[in-house]
This record gives sequence, structure tokens and C-alpha cells, in this order.
Amino acid sequence: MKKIRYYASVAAMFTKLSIQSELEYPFMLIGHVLANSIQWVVGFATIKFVVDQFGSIGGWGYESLAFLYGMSVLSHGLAVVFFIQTWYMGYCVIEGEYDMFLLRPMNLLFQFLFMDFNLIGFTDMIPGLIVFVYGCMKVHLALNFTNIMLILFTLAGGTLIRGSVWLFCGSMSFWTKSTANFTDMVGELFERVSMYPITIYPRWVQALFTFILPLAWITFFPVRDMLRMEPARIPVPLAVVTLAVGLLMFAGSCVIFRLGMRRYESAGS
Amino acid sequence: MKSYLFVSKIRIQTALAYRFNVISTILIQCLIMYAMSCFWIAAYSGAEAVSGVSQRDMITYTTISVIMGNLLTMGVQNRIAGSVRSGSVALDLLKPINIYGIYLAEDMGDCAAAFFQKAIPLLLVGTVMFGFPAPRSPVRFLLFLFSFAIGYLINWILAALLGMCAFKTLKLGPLANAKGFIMKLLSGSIFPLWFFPNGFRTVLEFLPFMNIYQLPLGIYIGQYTADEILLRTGLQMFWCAALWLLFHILQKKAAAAVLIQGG
Repeated sequence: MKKIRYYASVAAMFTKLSIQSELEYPFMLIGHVLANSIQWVVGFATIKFVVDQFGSIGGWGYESLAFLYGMSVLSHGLAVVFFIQTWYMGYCVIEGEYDMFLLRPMNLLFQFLFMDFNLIGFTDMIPGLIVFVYGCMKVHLALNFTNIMLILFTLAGGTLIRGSVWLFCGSMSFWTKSTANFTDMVGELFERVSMYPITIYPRWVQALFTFILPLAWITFFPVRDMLRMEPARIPVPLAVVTLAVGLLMFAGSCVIFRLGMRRYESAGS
Repeated sequence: MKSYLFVSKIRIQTALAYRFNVISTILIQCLIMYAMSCFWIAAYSGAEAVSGVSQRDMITYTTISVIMGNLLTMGVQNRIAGSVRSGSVALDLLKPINIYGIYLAEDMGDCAAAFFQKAIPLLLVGTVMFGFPAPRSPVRFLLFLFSFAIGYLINWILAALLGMCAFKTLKLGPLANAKGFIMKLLSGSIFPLWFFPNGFRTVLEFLPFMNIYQLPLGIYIGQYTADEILLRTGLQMFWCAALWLLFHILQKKAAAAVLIQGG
């Protein structure tokens, strides 16, 4: 009990310090709000214009696309808030930055997961929320308890799935000892499978993203389920499956991280 | 001239040294190409033509657009920002050669390397996946090359102008992001402007961004008539000249400001 309290106080301290250091540069923060608003709001607007011309895409009109897109940006923002430290793992491995973890008498994974709380991620969520609320209104989603729970489950699961993939890719640097950064590649992949309905891809690609690399669960399946676009095939809401997939993947990535940390040899000077 | 060519040569050699970088870039770009083509196939879903463009044209557009994107990567903005931050800009300005000429030569070197390392492999992959993206006619292809060259210059000057902001702000951060998004969304690199509503489209057509992607690509797939090409190329050249003038003035001012700071 005492230990838990101690860990919680350290986590709070880490978070406080990260936020304070971000607030040192207020204009940076404002700049990010503006830049991200342009990116996501204009990004969605252009999709809407194109879909208007064609009527629908993969069976989805722009109303449900807005809902899907908003959900995707929200979980992206959350993942950026909580998992930003996975983006520069290669650099840390090469420079020997993780030495500090080994020197402190605390759990490695805990230190890694809580060391960087990135306020800037919330700037993605402002435009994300705008598009999402717009989408909710357009699809006439009733804001009752069930739906709110389903949205929260989806966001939590989606955030965990994104974070797990980043953590997995970052952990590869323990073995490769290179600073190679997969962030762009993975980001592009996330965008293509979570902002557009995966029904636009051939069957084998859909199967790939459902079972082998389960990225379609980030938004596609729970959203389709919430909007009742297909009759349910299993008795559980798919948002619950998303959370389960997210937790499983997260557990898997944590194991990979711990295995990697064993190979860590502090290459820096 | 010889020194500029030498800089370009060095950059080509540097680019050739990073094999992993190239392979991962090609993978991402193939992914984008494939995903966008699937998007268009799903959007058309058998329709003959939308806004006067056929599905085949849109796949050609996407393939060539992705290839262009790889040739249009600009190092100049980070180069300027980096040298301002480190203070080496003072030394750069002392060199008996035009420093912006060197930056341009570096980017051209990167572009030449990217042509062989990225453009050709991507063209091959695109051809295997969705068929060869042929231009409308040989004449159109030549016009495309000309238009692409001017577009390249516009893109370079815009990047250089953004880099000059670093003289004031020291760090580009969100500014660079915002420019990236604008370039991606409003230049026609992903969605051509002819699918946008009239008012929005008219505004975008007067801005310089569409001259980088949309105009050359529209010429390539034969979307523009001869008259339109003439008119639009005129506007494109106007933008190129105007932006160059602006760049020229700002560059003089920036150099003066640096001298006052003293390094």
C-alpha cells in the first residue's frame, strides 16, 4: 500500500514537471494548437468535399466518416500525450539515456511509461473534438450512458493499440542498436486504417488488419458497431473487444520492452 | 558554377550511403500510393467519370503525385534554421560564394539522388500494382516537365522563406508543421482541387501552392486545355518571380540583422 502511494506520488511529480517544462514555451503551445487545427479540420474538410462529389466511399457517407475521423484524431492525441517517449527510444538507447532508470530503485517499466507526459498531444484533441462533435451531431448519436461508455472504451483501447505499436517499434532499437525511426511509417499506416473505412481495401488487406496486425480495431470496428451499420455477429459490443485487443497488445509490448532492457548495454559515453 | 556542382555531387554521395533510410521511405511511399489508389477505386466504384476525370486518370495522378513528393523534399528550411541556431550562419555568409546557391545545389543533389533511389523504384512498383501511369501525350509530358521545374523552384523558395523565419523565431517547430499540412492539403498533392466546392477552389487556384502539384499533374493527365495551360503557366511564373523577389529582399535584411547581432 505504501509502495503504491509512493509510486503514485512519483508519477504525479513526473507529470507536473513535464507540464511545467512545456509551459515554459507558451507560444510553442499556441503554435501547435493552430498548426494541428489546420491539419485536422482542413484535413477532414477536404475528405468531405471529395466524398460529396462521389456520394459515399466504401459504403460510408461523410456523416459517419466525420465520426470515424474525429474518433481517430482523439485517440491519436491521447496516444501522443501518454506515449511520446516511445518516439525517441532509438536515440536513448544509442546515447545511454536509460542508465538513469537502472540507477533508480524503482520499476523500469513504470519509470519509462511515466517519464514524459506530453501536453502538446492535447492540441491534437481540440480539433479532434470539433470534428468528433460535428460527426456525433450528423449521425444523430444519442448521448446516453451506453454510448458514452462505448466511446470511452474505444478511445482507451485505440490509445493502447497505438501506444503498443509505437512501444514495440521503439523497443526494436534494443536489438538493432540504431536510431532508425519508424514514427512516420507507423503514423501513415495508422492514418490509412483508422481515418478511412477499411472496406475500401481488398479482402486480404482487411483480414490482415483485423487478425494479424489488428489496427482496424482502433476505430473502424467499434465505430461501425456503434453506428449499427452491420448486424452484430457477436453478443459483446465491439468497443469492449477494442479495449481487450488494446490491453493484450500493450501487455505484449511491455514484455518486449523488458526483454529489450535486458540487452541494453548503455552504449553512450 | 563548378563549386555548386561539387556540392550537389557530395549530396548525391551522402544520400547513397543511407540505405536503410531509402528502403523504409520506399515502403512508406508504396503504402501511401496503394492506400490512395484503393481510396479512388472505392470512391469511383465503377462510375465512368466524376468532375470530368476518370478512375484511370486519378490512379495515374496519385502515382505521379507520390513520386513528385519524393523529388520535392526540401532541406533548405532546416538548413537555414539550423545554421541560425548554431550561429554558423555568420561563417556561411563570409564564404566567397552565394550561400543560398549552395543550399539550392544541395537540394538539387538530393533531388537527383531521389530520382534514382526513390522515383524509379516507385514507378516500377506503381506499374506492377495498377498499370503504367502514362501521360496523355508526349507533348503533354514535356509541358509537365517544364511545369514541374517551375513548381520545384516555387517550392524551394517557399521553404527558404520559412527557413528565414528562424532569424526571428530561432526555432521553426509548429511553423514548419503548419507549412507541411498546408502543402499536403491545399496543393492538390492528395485531393485535386477540382473536387472542391467552387468558392474554395477559386481561392486556392490563386495561391501559389497548387502550382507545385496540381498544375503539373493536371497537365500530365490532360485535364487542362491548351489555353488554360498557357494562362496557368503565366500565373505560375508570376508567383515564382514574385516569391523570388520577396526572398531576395528578405535575405538582404536578414543578413544585415545577423551582422548587428555579431554572432
